[in-house]
Amino acid sequence: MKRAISRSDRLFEWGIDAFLIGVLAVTLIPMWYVAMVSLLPFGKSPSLFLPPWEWSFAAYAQLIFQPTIWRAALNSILLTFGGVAISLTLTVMAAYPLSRRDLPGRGFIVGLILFTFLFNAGLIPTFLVVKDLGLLNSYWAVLLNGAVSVYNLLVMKSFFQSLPESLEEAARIDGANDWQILRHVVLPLSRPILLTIGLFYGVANWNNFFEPILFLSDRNLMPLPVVLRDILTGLNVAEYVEGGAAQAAPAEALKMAAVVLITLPMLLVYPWIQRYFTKGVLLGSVKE
Amino acid sequence: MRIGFRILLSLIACSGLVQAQANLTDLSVALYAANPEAPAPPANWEVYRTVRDKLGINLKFTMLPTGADGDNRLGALAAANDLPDLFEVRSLALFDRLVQQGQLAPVNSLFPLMPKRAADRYGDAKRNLLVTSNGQIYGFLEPVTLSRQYGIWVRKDWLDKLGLKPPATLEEFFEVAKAFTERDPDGNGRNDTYGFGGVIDFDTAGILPGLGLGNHFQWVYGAYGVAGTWNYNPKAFAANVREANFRKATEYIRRLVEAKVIDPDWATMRRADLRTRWQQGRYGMFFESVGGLQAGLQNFHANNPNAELLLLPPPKGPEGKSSMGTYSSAGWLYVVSKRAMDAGKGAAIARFLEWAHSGEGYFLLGWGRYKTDYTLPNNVPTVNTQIPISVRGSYTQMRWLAFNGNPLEMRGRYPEISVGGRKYVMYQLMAQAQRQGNWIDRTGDLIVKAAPNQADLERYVSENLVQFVLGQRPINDSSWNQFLSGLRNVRFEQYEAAAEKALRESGYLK
Repeated sequence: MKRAISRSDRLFEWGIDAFLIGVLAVTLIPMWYVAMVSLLPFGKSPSLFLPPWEWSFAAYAQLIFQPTIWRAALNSILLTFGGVAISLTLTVMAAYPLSRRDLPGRGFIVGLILFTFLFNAGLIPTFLVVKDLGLLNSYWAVLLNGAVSVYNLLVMKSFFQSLPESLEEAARIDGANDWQILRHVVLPLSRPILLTIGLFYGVANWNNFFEPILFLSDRNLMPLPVVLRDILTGLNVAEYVEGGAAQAAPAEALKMAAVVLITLPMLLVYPWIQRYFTKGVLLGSVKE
Repeated sequence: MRIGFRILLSLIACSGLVQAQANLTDLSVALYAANPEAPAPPANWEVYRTVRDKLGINLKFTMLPTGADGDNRLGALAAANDLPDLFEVRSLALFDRLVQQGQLAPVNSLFPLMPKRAADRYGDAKRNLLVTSNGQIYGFLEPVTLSRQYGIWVRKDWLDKLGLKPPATLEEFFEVAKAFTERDPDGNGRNDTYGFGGVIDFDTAGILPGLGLGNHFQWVYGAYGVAGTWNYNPKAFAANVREANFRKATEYIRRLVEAKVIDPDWATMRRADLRTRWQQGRYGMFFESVGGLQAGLQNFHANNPNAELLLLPPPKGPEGKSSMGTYSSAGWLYVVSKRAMDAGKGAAIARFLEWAHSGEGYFLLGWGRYKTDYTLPNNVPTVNTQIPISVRGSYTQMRWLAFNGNPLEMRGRYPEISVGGRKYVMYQLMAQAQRQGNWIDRTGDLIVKAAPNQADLERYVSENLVQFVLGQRPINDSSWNQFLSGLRNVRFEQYEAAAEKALRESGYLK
């Protein structure tokens, strides 16, 4: 039977639709503007709409054909995939035991972890630890430092806790040990949370900027955000241009093209795993 | 027998090689990238080989990240007692801190080891005072070579179209700006042009005090004889902000704003926005550096094919005074870590810097590979623009160690260029900007230590001035006196007294 929709309900729904369209516009318009300016040819003013025959990909070409960019992109990919693998592994290894009620000293360990959530050591002690471990100027410094996010750990722990205990008991009756339960029962059921947390880690690693600057000296190891930021800085320091340093595209277009290049991979990945998000984050908070 | 002889020879040769390797001095150098858009020098960089073979130095070069990130990195390295041997500091606050912490070594003893460089670059005792503590010089403070390159550029094609002359006084400036705003100088039938484009911008923010409205409006204060923070009058030293003429200059800017001849967004715009807009042809007059002009000319002429630009002398005020603004003669600062000096690397550092100053080292560091990155027609270094900056720039990442601003260098760096069918002789424009600007030397400002509440103090003055010129506050005796008396609340007088003391003790104020 079709439910009759009252006038006030319809108005309310329209209101929600209008609000969501407003939110969409607020987020989409700046991105659209960035994309348009990145396509700006010489002699045109930045605008929200460019006719297709006025597009110029010169800014992208100038950035993409720089050898530095490719090396940096490879570095970023390495740091992102490596970072996700390490962070996810460590987070699962910590979250699963902490989700088991029979773990001795569980409250104390969770307390210790929460303490680091509220108070951190600061820049200098962190640097000293990394230095004394001999990790300076190596990717391990970037990958291991802050590899586990307390927030992600708690979300994952909560998700594991929400899985029915009866499943684990059944596996144990069948002779499975803890490793086997984790591998064959828990992880296959946790795909939403693994993808969600994996994306969180992926975005964080892809955008990581300060740690490479702090821990790496070799410019050939620098990831994409650092290199693109340096290019943008170079464009701003126009007092020191060298003779004949004419650009192939307007400086504004170059800057915006850099912004697009850095955000594009994450924008492309997001829609593919977005459907797991609701499950991943919300299920973590559902109690049996 | 023959085999035995060969083995003996090999052993002797190897021992020589080992000896040569043992005599190499490891030298870590960290500088801000000269070309941030280009990668680090390649592993086979000629400089590495040359300094190893000729100077006995095993050079390790790292590029510091620009801005505050670089300072943070240096701070972390200092805390870990891991500073490079020779490095660059761009924040005087960080420099002071490193000196206090004993992380830097005095460099006086190195001057005799690099006689040419020291004589040409570090002979100015007054400038060295800026990096002196307890009678010891703690850094190599380079003379600046590219200051005073700013100016007001005016659209000559617009002047001609409206039958106007380049303005020579503040009043004429006002009239021309009004005409550029109201009389449609670009002829597009729209009211979309402004007489003047400038923004609140402090070229050397963080080093020189950022009081007021910044460089882009210093020419107005210069026309009233009050450009810069201090008046440097030995008999009546005071902050310019407390001079009567300072108010008059502020009133003049307010007039420009009220007449809507300045881009109304000026108070919130950044330098990059200004550059975009003058390149679009929105301004009849704008404040820009010669380098900034050179970088934007291509876009400018694509937007404005018939445009022609003139560099304006600073407009004169009612008493005939004029100045485009202020400058400091202190450039890059290089320092030596105490760790390096204790390890006996001082001589190697001096050897390296002397090599970089002239001859082979100068050309290698400053210009890259001969006949690849540059050539020398008529002895003028001329960059090969066929090689993109992303490649060529790798080889000249240490060029600030070499460049010294000699005339041939300036001709090489700011050559004749043809853009939009017009020829621009950039080095002549640079010289013109430096010569006609009537610039005021405010190097002494650097000796004045920042007040404990420097940020509050600068914010108070700048925000009040913005309110005055934007019309958010009236300018009359009462409001101006209220503003001046408010300076007491931010302890401005203590700052002023400390400045006078420092300037008199150092000899900048006699």
